Amino acid sequence: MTSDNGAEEVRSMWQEQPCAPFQMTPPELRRKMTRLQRQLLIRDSIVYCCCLVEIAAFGWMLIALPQWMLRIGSILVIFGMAFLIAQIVLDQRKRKLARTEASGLGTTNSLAFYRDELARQRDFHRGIWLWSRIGALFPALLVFGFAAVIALPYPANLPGYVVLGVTLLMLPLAICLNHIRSRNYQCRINAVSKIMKAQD
Amino acid sequence: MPTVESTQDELYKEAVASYGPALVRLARAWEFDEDARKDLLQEIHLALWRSFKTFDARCSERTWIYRVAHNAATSHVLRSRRGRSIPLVSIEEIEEQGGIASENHIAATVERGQVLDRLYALIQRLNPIDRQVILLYLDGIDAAAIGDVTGISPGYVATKIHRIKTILAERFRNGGNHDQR
Repeated sequence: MTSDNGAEEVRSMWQEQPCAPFQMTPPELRRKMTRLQRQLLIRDSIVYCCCLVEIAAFGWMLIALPQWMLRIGSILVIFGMAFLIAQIVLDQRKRKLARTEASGLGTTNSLAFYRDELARQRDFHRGIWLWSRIGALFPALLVFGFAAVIALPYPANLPGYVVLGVTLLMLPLAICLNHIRSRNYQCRINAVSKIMKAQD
Repeated sequence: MPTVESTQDELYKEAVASYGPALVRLARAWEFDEDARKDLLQEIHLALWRSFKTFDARCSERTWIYRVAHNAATSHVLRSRRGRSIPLVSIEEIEEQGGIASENHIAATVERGQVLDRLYALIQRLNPIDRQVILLYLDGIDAAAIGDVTGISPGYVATKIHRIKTILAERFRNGGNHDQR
């Protein structure tokens, strides 16, 4: 048997396989679209709520705690968390556009589309996106934890030790996990680039 | 004069009438799990319907439909694969590695359904681009059209197809026949 005959046989089998018909009516599609947009809105609202709760909590500390070091720490944490949330919102917005605005799906070929998607995900885990996130959040938490440790008497300063400990533990972990993810995406981008080069 | 919405609805209906089964096969090839497959199929249909709002016939309807479907599937799978590290391979690696259905060409004696299951399993091990090439090939699309959909040059597609044919012939030999050898 030649490879052409064998492949043709499999190809016929593939095309003849029974497929349960599936179709959505335009009203169903419109309902589905509305539902999808509502789901995305709810997800965004959760992020905004977290942001408000965090600002309220540290805002309360800013007013209630008399120690100026803790106040500075609170302000830095508020800014750091707000920056982190803003990044997540921006990333979600990009993904939302990809899901709800479908015109780009038809005008972009698969190779370019796949590469762009991978690059977008990689960029979230490295470079300016990653370091600005870490730079905004971790020093703030360290300052807040350190301030709590030295400004409050024992045992009220114990949460400060916890914040410091967790922050110092999380920092290398966050860098390491983001590095692994970005490297993973980069490997896949390299594979796509290899295909692009191979056809030149 | 037809409105944008009615044209969009008409184009969608025509697309489903012509390519509905291909979309079902595509969803199955990207997602084994039945619920996930259903979600993906709905997502593809939604993307297709939405996309027709801006369809300007600069490429053929078939190219547009396959691009939207494959890109929507890629996006869906990248989203669901977040945090998972399933290694995907290329057509070339499949050939080198052996693996699926390689045991004594057992496809010769198994039922057609089993051959298709093995074929789906093989497809799901492939990286998205090679997966698209093999799916388009299996759907009977020629190399030039596969190039339009994927962005890969027809010459390179032809090389890939050659490998695909060899793999299919060797691993699924006589898969369509029910005779026992």
